[in-house]
Amino acid sequence: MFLNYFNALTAKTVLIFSLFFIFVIIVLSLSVYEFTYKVMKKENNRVINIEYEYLVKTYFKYGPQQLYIAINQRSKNQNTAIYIATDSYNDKIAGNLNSWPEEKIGSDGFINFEISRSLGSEIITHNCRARIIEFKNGSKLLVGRDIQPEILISQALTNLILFTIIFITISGIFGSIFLGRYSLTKVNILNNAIQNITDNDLNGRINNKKINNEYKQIASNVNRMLERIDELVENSKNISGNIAHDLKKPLTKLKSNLELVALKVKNKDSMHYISEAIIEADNLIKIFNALLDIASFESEKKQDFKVINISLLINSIIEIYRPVIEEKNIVFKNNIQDNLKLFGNKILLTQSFTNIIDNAIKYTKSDENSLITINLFLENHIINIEFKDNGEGIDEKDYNRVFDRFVRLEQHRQTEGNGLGLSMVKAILKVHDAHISLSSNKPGLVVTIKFKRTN
Amino acid sequence: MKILLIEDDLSTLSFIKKGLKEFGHVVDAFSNGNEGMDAAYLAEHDIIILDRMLPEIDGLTIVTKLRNNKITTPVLFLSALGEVDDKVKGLKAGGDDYLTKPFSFSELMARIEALNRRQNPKSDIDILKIYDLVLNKKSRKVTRNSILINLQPQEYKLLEVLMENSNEVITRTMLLEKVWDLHFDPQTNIIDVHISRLRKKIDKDHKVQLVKTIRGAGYSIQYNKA
Repeated sequence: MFLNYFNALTAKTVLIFSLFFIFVIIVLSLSVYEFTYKVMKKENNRVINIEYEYLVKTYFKYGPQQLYIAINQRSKNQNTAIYIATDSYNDKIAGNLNSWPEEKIGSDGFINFEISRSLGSEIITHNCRARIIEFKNGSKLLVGRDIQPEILISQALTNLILFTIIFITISGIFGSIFLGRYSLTKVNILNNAIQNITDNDLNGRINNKKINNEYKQIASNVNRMLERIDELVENSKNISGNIAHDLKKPLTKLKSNLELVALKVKNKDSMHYISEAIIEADNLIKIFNALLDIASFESEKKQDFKVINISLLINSIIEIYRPVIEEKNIVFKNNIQDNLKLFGNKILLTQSFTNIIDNAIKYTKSDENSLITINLFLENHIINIEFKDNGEGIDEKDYNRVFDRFVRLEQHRQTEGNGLGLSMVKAILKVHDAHISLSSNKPGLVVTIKFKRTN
Repeated sequence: MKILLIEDDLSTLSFIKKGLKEFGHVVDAFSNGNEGMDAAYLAEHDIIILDRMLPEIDGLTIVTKLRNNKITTPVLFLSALGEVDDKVKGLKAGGDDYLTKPFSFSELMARIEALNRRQNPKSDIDILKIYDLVLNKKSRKVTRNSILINLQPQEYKLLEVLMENSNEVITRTMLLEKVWDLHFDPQTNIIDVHISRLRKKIDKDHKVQLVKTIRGAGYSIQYNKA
């Protein structure tokens, strides 16, 4: 679920930008660190060095006594500067530290140590840094500074960096989830709507009430595009319908005249040619009739619709076709659920079912391994009809194409037909709000018809 | 036969008129619905061929009026509207048969013959007989040479339609409509297969073959003393 959101382009963009910000902040923090902490450290070291050199010089120039005086003078009223001088027994002689501290070795000849300071009743440990020297007689000198502010600033900077990185990471993740979800929801609305429309033969439009901004624009543009496609499809349908309508009349006259001639002709040869011409004219008229029928079904008039017992209808079609299928030595099986009813035009449905069976018979070989199956069953309140054969089948890439007008597959060019059968089937089923789909029977074809749920 | 033809399309009108005359029928032809209806009231015709769509008064109205006035002359509708519900409407209004334009002349002739025959009181008889083949409509039993033939329901129906119109040509379209209630042309040769099955039961092992194929027209059941 969440991973889906991350996949959205917006979410990815947000994540990438978050990473970029984290990088920028690290760079920025490092420079701040460099300019504050390091500068402070340098300055402290410089002060320690000056004091140290001065006091060591005093020791060598004026002797230990002068050094102790100088230390005691400097120790007065001092919090930041730290001094201690001890004798060879490690006992304190002068300075503001009570005893020689426990040293930890630091960098650049400095040592680090901790001191305890009382602040009211509380005792606070402070970090200090110092330089030390041991004189020949065993006495020692320590010159240092309380570097607590340095440490605090360093800690504050580290905390700030960590906090910012964590904050940006979390807000980046949540932001991308939120934005991803937002854009995906909108895109999903568009996506689902477009998918539905495509599955539904471009019927229906995107409802853009639930979406806004650029998505709304996309939605209304897609809707406009669909309108345009609709117009074009409508035009092309009308064109074939109009052509069929206009050509049918002269063709009919042609045929009538041929028939009248046929009544008079006695010559057998001439008669033969005339009969051939009449048959051809008939075929043309059949094509035009089919085109006109498809056009009229596509105008979606639900004419002469009644409650039909589809189980009886399929059974009677099976009885009509059983001898034909048996004649071809094809095994015929069927499983028809009783008493299923739907609202439709019996004659049109019969026409579409027989068309599918005609195809199954036409493309199934005449041998005992051939099998044609018809199933009728109710599933989730939806009436399903399946026509299965194990004939040569259809390539998956042609599944949609075969429903178009005048489409004949390359391998079927030799067989009889005009490429209008399945267009007619689809048009009839469309009037019935039924959906037809093809799939493979491995080998062979499965034609599945699903009627709209009726209660 | 005396035939009344009402058709507004002049080329169809002259085509049918010429064709029917060729077969020796007398034709009264009108291109105007009202004039045609007046002629029909005389009730002197054997058949009325009526276009479904006429400019002033349409075919459905004419039939309804005729039937309301007890004119029972059989009516064959012609229509350019091939849609099934148009057929149903036409038959409901009182038409006896329906033919979609364009039709072949043999189809029209076969239907006219069948309609004329239906007028004949003979068709009320329960027992149909041709040569030694007997079909009993009441008991639905078929015998040939007094031997009972076991027929499937569809085969029986097919034989019944052929025998009701014995000696006449029944076209494929008529068989599809009357036997199987199919109102279009299936791609498969259902009729051939069913006829051949019927033949096996009726004519096989008999010297006289009764089920005839009429080339280019259809089928017929007839006995020719050859």
